[in-house]
Amino acid sequence: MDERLRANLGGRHFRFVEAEPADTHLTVTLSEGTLGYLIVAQIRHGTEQQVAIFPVGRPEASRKPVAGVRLEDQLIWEQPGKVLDFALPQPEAGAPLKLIVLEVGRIVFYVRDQQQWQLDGSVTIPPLRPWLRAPRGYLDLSRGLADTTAALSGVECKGDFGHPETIQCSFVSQERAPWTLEQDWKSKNLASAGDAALISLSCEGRSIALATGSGDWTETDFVQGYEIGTLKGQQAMASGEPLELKGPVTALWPAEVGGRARAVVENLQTGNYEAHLVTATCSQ
Amino acid sequence: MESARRPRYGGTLRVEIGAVVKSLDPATGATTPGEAAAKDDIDPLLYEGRSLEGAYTGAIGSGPFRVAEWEPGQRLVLVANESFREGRPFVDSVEIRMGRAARDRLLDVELDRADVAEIPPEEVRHAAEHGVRVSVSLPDELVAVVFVAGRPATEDRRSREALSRSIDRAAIVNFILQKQGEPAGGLLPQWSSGTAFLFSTAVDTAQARNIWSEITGPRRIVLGYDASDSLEESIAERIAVDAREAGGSVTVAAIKPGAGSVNADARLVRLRMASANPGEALARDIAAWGPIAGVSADPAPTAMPQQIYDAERAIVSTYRIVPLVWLPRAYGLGTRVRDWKAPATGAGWPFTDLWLGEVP
Repeated sequence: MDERLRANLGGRHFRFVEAEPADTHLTVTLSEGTLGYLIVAQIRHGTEQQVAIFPVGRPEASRKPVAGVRLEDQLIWEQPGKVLDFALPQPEAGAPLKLIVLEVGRIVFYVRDQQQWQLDGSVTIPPLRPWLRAPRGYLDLSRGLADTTAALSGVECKGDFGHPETIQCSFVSQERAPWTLEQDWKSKNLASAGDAALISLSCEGRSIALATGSGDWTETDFVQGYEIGTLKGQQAMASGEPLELKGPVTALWPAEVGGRARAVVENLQTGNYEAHLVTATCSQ
Repeated sequence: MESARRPRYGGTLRVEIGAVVKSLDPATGATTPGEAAAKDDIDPLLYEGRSLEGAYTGAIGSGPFRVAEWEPGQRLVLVANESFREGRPFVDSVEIRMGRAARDRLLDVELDRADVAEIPPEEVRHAAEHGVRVSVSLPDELVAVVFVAGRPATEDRRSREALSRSIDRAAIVNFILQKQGEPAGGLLPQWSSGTAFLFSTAVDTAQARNIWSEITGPRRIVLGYDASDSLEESIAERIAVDAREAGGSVTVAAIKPGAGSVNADARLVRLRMASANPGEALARDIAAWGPIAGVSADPAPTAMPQQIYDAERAIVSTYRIVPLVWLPRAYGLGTRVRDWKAPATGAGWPFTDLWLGEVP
């Protein structure tokens, strides 16, 4: 590191000289605590020492381009409470962008205003049965906002999600829950993965799926792109670099827009639940 | 078929601990530090929430579990609270056996007769060598010497400083703790404050000898430790040896629970951090210690790193509290325990979120 720093500073026309005897010594240390990175300056003058501490932000790691399915991540929303699923319905012309967040006991609606999501209303989902510790949820907007379904473990809420007052919830069987269908598809195509979503994208004629890792929910996770073989019985092949995430992916669903998936991540550093939009593209 | 990573419900989690808890009432004080630590782990399982001051809120049983059977000091059986606000725990019940010797706990988890067993930090290496799956938390429990105010032997600051400089903290970590934990020079660990490296942990026998040679008054220090804690006993004896090598004199004294006032100049204490946030943790520590002579530092829980460091430095410079080592919490885990997260600093056992898989 010392050599690299010297080379870097030399390239910027700095000159190095031998240290001369000095009365005051300054030691600078880059450190890290739970509050973030710190620059710590120790100023020693004889037996006296002063310490000055400056908090600094954490830089984002840079990403390099890779071949195969390329994944881009966009953090849409985060909150301390559990998020089961979320959706970004296609806005009507001139209308503000909307965000729907499915939580354990409610459906929350937000609108984009001045670069921020503002609460627009919520619908309480009645506890038709005791809430499960790891409930699942899915927002199905495939038939449009006016005929949307929010499916939870044993509960289904339907209505015009553009007019939340029309939403009605009822008790349903779990046998045909969306995650049961997803599980059937995954066990045939991506058995070793955690959760998987077949997205509407194909690269060189091969369908693309995204899948999570298979670790516990105590570990950081990733989303990996897969190319699904066209021949029967052909295994899915991992393609491109995985998208590393700061916690387990607790839900992964194909988004309504092509080449995208919705991922809910429990950030192990902050404890927040994060709604990510993962965009896959074919890259050579 | 459901994915293997998705939790499943059911089963009884079998837990073994060394401490003996005699009362589940939060208002009833613990008689030993071990009992206090165990209550800190049990209370979050029974109560719904905690106030900013740290008091548990809600009725007993409003948390993720309810008490099903209670044999004070021996056995506690909890059952899942079906109406817990944040969702029912995955396990149906938890059986906690208390007062189990460290060797028995280790053996039981090795033989899959227990799912979770507390392991003393100094036994972690031994457990791992025996194939036990071990979980170790961040080091968040401080072992320190706390001097008793008003004692003639230690009212002279030089006497306290000499003792602090004579202690070989690295040797305590390497030999007594078998390389678990880390030496402590400050009141917060490096992972939390980011500034622990500014506090020296080096032994300075020569300087300690010089200081002690200047002291003309009483020099013998009586150091008390919890009689039920073998780790404290080992550390106290090591301190006595280090002090002797530097020309000091330390006599160790075992303190039995409920013994009342003891003729000790200083005590070994174990103090768990109440929070991972350095400002909050230090503020709670200061509240627990009470006023420290010559120190006005009282950082707010939201203090900035500079303020936290200044407060820490002011306290440590009095040598009334001499940090020794940071200890992690360690657990042996049975083969069927899934989704175990090492307990977060300030939080109790993670029994609400773990689940039991099939024995492979």
